Amino acid sequence: MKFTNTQEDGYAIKKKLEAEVVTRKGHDFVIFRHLGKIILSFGIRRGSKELPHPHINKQMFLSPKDCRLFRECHITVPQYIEILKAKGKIE
Amino acid sequence: MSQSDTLFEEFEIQPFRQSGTKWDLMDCDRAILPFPRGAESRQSQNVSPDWANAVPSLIAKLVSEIVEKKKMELRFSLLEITVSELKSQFNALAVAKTRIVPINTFTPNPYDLLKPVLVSVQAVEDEFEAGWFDANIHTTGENEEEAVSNLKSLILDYFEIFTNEPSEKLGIEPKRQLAILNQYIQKRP
Repeated sequence: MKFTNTQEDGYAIKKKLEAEVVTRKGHDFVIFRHLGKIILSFGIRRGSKELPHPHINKQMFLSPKDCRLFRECHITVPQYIEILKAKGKIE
Repeated sequence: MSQSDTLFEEFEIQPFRQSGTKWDLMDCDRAILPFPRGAESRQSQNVSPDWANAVPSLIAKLVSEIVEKKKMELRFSLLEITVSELKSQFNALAVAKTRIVPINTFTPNPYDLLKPVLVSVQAVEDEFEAGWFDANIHTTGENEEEAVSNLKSLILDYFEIFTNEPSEKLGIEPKRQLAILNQYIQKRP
């Protein structure tokens, strides 16, 4: 089963994380903060057709499957933060 | 022609296989019955009286040839396996189309590259993904050139955004990423 994200998944994840977006030429720069600190960021390419974004899960420190589960709401934001803490990505 | 060749011709090898069928090395393992061809009529004319003395050497020669054929067969089998493995590895590489590409400049952007950045570029579905694993920065593009170009642009965004952010506002990963970026990139004064 494939779990490759697209830009649509990227925007859904950005929305769920309530992340901020910095618009740049050709792509959007997504910044996720927790307690005021930048925890992670990733780029989303803009385009009318469906574009694969296989890097999003890497930059979120998740497996492709877990990234899909997060995007589909099987993993909540608090649960995701706990995952990041367990992985040493949040102090 | 040697004596043993002459003797060899005198014996009729039993027809183990039908004409047109594939030759099988296993045929060599089957017993060969040396029935003299027209033995009774020609025995006195052509067959050397000491033919029995030549039989051991003929058998030794036959055994030696069979052993050589078996060795060759084994070598070919090993080669076939090796070639098949190499072929599958080559196909996997061809499908992934993974390459390591150096980034040597950020021109025309006002940033100096202190040393080349090695990035990986690989095919993903119909697109290409370019990534700098050390800095955990990745993006995609329609072709390899566009993927690398997008990655260069994204690297500079990371550098600019993280540099402008107060240090205490950077988490563990952004701090690590900025430290790596600082080793490679310098903004021109």
